[in-house]
Amino acid sequence: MIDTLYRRGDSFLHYYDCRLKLFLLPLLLVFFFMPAPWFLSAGFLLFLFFLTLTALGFVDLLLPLKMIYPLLIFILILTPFFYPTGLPLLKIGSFVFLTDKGLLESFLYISRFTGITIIFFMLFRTTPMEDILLGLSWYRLPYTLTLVISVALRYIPHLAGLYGQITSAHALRCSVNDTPPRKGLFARLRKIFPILVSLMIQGVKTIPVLTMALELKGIGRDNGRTRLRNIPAPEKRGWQIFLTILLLVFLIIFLIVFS
Amino acid sequence: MQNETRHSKQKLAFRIASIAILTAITTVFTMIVRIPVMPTRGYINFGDVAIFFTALTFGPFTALAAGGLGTALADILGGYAQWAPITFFAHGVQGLLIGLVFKMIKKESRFQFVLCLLFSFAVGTFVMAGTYFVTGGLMYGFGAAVTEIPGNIIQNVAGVVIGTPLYIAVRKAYPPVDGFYW
Repeated sequence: MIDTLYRRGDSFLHYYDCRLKLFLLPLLLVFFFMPAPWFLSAGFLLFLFFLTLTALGFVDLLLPLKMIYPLLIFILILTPFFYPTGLPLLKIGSFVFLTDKGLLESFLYISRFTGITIIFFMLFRTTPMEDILLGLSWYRLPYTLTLVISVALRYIPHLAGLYGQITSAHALRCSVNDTPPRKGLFARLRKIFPILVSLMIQGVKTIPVLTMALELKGIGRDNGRTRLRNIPAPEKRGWQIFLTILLLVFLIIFLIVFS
Repeated sequence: MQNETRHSKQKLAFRIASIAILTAITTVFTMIVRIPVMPTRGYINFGDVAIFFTALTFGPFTALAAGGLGTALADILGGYAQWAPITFFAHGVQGLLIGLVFKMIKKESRFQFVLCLLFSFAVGTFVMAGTYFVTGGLMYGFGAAVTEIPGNIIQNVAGVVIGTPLYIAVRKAYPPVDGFYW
């Protein structure tokens, strides 16, 4: 049930240094919010499609799109109503349904949201969570925060398994007079509540034990016993840095020329 | 002085442990119980239940960290990674404010407790739904962002309606939890 987005692979995106990916991520996000003409956003989106297709394949290109397509339809339907000015494209009586400006804005929003979704998807699909944490700590994310996230990631499957066990244990019982179970949302909530209480108590009881374990590991001491490991440098780091700079330069030039 | 320093360092281990466990609990609560919202393919989850519980039992700062990190991790693990930074902010601040309201307002009678709950619910909902609306509006237009508001409000209603009895039940069944507040 608990699964990360990451899939093993040998594409160039998998070997791309995660520190460079983390450096590029906010810059590419900012690009989508820059005042650029629609064809520039569309062009960049096509580039991202091409990148995903060549590095990850068709299935992985469809996966994020499948998750967001209902919202994209909503954008297409609702956005034009906020832009009644411009050349009317669809008009019934005196009511203007669609103008050229509304259509362009919808397209801009669609390309922005799809682009942001694909950028995040590519990052988490091609980089393990551990590497992302190490990369963030390289950018001076506090050690305690990295520790919290890594400990939490270890406990998520444990607690999810515990939830399954508690649910199975509760499923063995029924009421004394054996009345048929009620249906509906409220009944479902009443049924799930004791499971949530048990899970929460089990989880909370773990805190003192984990505290002791962390103290034994030297957390909070001046001479800590552990530290985060370093990320190994990728083989073609020079090329990767060059490609990153090239991409940024191209985007800036396009922005200056077409804005 | 030396004793105090030692005590604060022991506290650090406890704080890391409590935030990590509650982050994991929030992620599990967010990922396990999901009611899909058809129009936007989003989902209503029990993450807010965990946030409410954390704010009431552990205080505002644990709720800020565990609420924000737990829901953001759920977004990343569940394939909605583009929402993770916004979720971190929205749910983190939501947990902080719920916890602060509970810390500041006196709760001597049942009436005051209910009033406090309603106030924290209102503040939490305003911040959470407001953040999603504004950021959603900037990302894909306010027309589509409006459609998310009812789902977010329902999620918060579930948070207060289930989170409060959960807080009472856990305190009753495991009294040492009262000493975990900071």
